[in-house]
Amino acid sequence: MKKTILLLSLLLSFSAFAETVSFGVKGMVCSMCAQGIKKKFSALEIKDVSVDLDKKLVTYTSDKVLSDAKINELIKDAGYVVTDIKRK
Amino acid sequence: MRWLALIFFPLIAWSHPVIYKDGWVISSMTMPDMTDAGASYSFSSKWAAGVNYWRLQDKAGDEQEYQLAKLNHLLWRYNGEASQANVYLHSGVGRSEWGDIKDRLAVMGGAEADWETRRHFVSGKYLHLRTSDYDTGIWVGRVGVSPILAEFQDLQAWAMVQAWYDPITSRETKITPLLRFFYHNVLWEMGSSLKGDMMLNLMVHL
Repeated sequence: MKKTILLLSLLLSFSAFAETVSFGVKGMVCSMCAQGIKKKFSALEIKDVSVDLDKKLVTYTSDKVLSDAKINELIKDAGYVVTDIKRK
Repeated sequence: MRWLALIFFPLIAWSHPVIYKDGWVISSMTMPDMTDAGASYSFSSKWAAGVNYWRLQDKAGDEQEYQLAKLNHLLWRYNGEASQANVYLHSGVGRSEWGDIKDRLAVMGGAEADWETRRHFVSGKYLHLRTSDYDTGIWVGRVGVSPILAEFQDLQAWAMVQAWYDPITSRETKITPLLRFFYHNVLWEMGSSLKGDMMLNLMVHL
């Protein structure tokens, strides 16, 4: 029982640090070209990246915190422009 | 001189000649009288370097080979709310081999522009080639429409028409309707010119 509580506490503490980040990406009209965005974040061990081509929106959840400058750099390397970064 | 048009084809068949930083592009093209294999590396989001190897059969039935090192540059990009536009510069140098001459120097340069939304695609390209035997250029244009707007991870399909004007080989504009598909990092195209020349292109982003 104690082990279960300990495990749950650990899981809760990890999820408490996880951050959901979403931002707009101007020019993101081609799904194949936008694969580069996922690749850039995967290289930083951020795997849970979703891309919405309709809304031109990228969202990820991770316990790894990236600064706005780093996100801008990653998206610039992918060939796009970031707008409106939101964090939850 | 049909080979001259054919060696340009791999350079005009694909989408963006520069992709994301540290991205690799592996491509191949198959036509009745030509095969092509190429690879390029985008060392920034504005520059890419690569190589292409072509083997083709000319009208006389002789086999010709080409090796070309390329450098592509994204000169300008517009990232809009619902569209993207690009201007690229192409350059290359290499060798060709056929007939009695085993080492012809080949130099290539050109420019390309495109505009696309999720639904529409338009592109135009001019490439100029100079060798010891030839000094010529080719104009190529494409228009396309995507009938269904697929989600990011789903299969994306396009219907396109390519127009290719080659003043050296035929002085005719060659029209090729084709289908383009994307799935994740893989693109393939299938088409047939109005004269019945089949075309199959494959490209992978790594």
